[in-house]
Amino acid sequence: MTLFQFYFAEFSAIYILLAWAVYLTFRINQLYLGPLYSMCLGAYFGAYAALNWGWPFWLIFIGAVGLSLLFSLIPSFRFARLGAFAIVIATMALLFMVQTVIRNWEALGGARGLFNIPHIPRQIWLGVTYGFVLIIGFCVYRLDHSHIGRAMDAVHFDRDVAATLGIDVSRLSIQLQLFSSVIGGIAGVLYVFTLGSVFPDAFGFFLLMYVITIVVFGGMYTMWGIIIASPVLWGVGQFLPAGLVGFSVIVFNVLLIGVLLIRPSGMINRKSVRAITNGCKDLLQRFTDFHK
Amino acid sequence: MRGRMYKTIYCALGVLIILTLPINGLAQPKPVVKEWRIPTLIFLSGPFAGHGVAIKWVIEEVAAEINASGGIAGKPIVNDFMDSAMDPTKAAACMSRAIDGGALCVIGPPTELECKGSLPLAKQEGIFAFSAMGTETTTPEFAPWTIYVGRGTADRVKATIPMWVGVEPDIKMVAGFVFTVFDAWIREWQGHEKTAAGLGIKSGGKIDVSPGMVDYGPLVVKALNTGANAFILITTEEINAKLVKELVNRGSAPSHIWIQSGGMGTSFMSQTKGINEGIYSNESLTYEYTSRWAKLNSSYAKSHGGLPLVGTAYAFADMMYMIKAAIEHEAITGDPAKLKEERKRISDYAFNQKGFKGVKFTYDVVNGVARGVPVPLFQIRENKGALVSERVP
Repeated sequence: MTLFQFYFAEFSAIYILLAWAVYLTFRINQLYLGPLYSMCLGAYFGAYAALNWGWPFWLIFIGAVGLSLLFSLIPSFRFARLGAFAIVIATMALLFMVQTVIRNWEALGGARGLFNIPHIPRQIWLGVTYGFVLIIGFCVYRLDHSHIGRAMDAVHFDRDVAATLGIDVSRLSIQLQLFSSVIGGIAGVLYVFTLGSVFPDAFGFFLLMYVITIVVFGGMYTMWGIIIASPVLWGVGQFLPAGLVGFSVIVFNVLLIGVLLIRPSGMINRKSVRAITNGCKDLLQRFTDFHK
Repeated sequence: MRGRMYKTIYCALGVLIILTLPINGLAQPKPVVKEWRIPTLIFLSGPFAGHGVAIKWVIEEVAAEINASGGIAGKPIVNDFMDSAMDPTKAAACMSRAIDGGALCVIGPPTELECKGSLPLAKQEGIFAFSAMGTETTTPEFAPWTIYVGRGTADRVKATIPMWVGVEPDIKMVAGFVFTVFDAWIREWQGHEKTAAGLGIKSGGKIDVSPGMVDYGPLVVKALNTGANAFILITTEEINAKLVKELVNRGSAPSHIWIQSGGMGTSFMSQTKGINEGIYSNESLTYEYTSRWAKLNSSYAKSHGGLPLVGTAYAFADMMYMIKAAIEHEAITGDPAKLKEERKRISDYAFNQKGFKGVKFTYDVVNGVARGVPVPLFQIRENKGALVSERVP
C-alpha cells in the first residue's frame, strides 16, 4: 500500500465518522457540532497522553471517549431543548471556546500545537481505523433501524407531535448528543495519530463546513451516502488533472449544487437505499435459483 | 637499452594514469535522471489562491531561467504542482504522493497550517521540504527537514517601532487593529506592544477586527477614544483600506499609521489612493531590493496587467536556487538506489548555509532559519513604497 493510499483511506474514514456523528443529531433537526470540539479534545488528549504519559493507544481511546462524554454531558441537558438554529450557534461557540482555551494553554503547545506524536505502523493503524468505522457504522445502522430510529423520524417530522406520542424528545436529544460526541472523540484520536501532530487551527470553521457538506451531499436521512461522499469530496483536489487543480473549489461546489438541485435530500436517500437493497435481494434470489 | 625500455614503459604508464584520472573516482558522479522532478506543494484553491498562483508563477519563471542557462547539472528542472489547499490533511496527502513518487526533496508547503499537517510525514520519511515561509515557530520540531527564510516576527517587532518612532517622534500612544483569526498576527501585535512599552510608548490596547463587518467606524472610534495617536494595522488588505479611510476621515495623520506586510497589497493601494500618502509599512510593492527582484517583478507586472508580485514570492524563488545549489554542490545523481542518502545530503546542505544570495536578500541559514534578513521601514510616497530605514537583526 502506498503512503498516499494510506492517507486517503485514513482521512476518508475520519470524515465518515465525523459526518455520521453530525448526521445522527441532524435526524432530529439539530445541527449539533459537538463532535468537532470532542474531536479537538480527543486529539489533544491523545497527543498529550502519548507524549507525556506514554499511554498505549487503546487506553488513549478509552480516555478520549471518557473526556468527550464528560465535556458533552452538562451542556447536553440545555442543548436538548434548543431549536435547530440555536444549537448550531451554541455548539459553534463552544468549539471556538475550546480552540481559544487550547491556544492559550502552553502545556498543550499553545497556538503552535504538539508534534512528534509516536508513530504507529500504518497497516495496524489502518486496521484500527476501519475497525472503528465498522463498529460505529454497525451501531449507527442498528440505531437507525431500532425504535430509537423510528422516534428520530417522528421528531424529524414534527417535534411537538412526537412529544404527544410519548417520545421524550429531550432525552433522545441528550442520548444522540453523547453518542455523537463519543464518535468525535474517537475521530480525534485517529486524526492525531494519522497526522502526527495536533494544533488548534485544525478544528476551525473550514472543518465544520466540510463535515456539514459531506452530510448534505451524501444524504441527510440515511447513513450510506456519507460513505461515498467522504472520499469523493475529499478526493476532488487530489485526483483532478494537474491543469485543473486550481479549479477544485469550483468542481467541489458544482458537485454540491448539482446534488442539491437534482436530489435535495442528498446523493443517496432512503428510496435509493430501498431500491439498492431490493435489487441486491433480487440478484441474490436469482443467483440462488440459478444454482438450484 | 633495457633501462631506456623501462623508462618508456613507466612514462607511458604515467601518461595513461593521468589520462584516466577522471575515471579513477576523482570526477563528479553524473546525474542518472533525465530531469529533476520536484513536487511543489502550493495552495492553488481557496480564499488565498491568488497568492498561491503568484507563487506558482515565480517558481515557473525561475525554472525557465535555470533551464535556459543549462539546467541543474545539465538536466532541466520540472515542478510537479500539487494543491495543498491550505488544508493540513490535503497537504499531508500531497506530501505522501511526493514521497511515493521518489522525490529528492519538495518545495512547500507555504503556510503554517499546511506545514504542521505535512512536515511530520516529511520528517518521518526523511525528505527535505523547502517550505520557505511556513515554519517560523516550528522549524525545530521538524529539524533538519525544513527551512524558514522569512523575516522572523521577533526580529520584525524588535525593529519596527524603534525605526518608526525614530522618524515620527511625536508618537505617544499606539493602538492595534488585529485580525484575530491568525495567531501569528496576535503574537505580532503583542510583540509590538512590548517593544513600544520598552520605549515608553503607551498602549491603547488591541482592537479585535472581524471580517465582513459593514462599518468599521465604531472600531476606529473605540481606538481613538483610548487616546492613541498612532495605529498599527495587522489585518487584511480590504479591512486595512476601510480602517485607513475611517482613521484619516477622523483626523489621524497617515504617517501615524503602520501596516503589516500581510495587509499591504495592490488592493489596499488602489482603495486608499489619495489618502495613503505617508503611511508606513514593512513591505513595498515597488521597491527594487535587487535587480533580480526588479526583473521578476516587472516581468510579472507585464503579464498581469501591472500588478506587482506578492511580497513573499521571493522566498520561493530562493528555494528554487537553493535546490539548484544543493544538487550541484552535493553532486546528487537522482539514482533511486541512493535516494535516502541523497535526500539526507540535500538536507545537510540546505539546513545550514553561509551567505546565500537570495533574490531579495543575502543571508545565512542557521539550523534551518534565515539569519540576517533586514527589517525595512517603508513609507508610501506618491503611491509607491520608499525605503526610509532598515535594520539587520
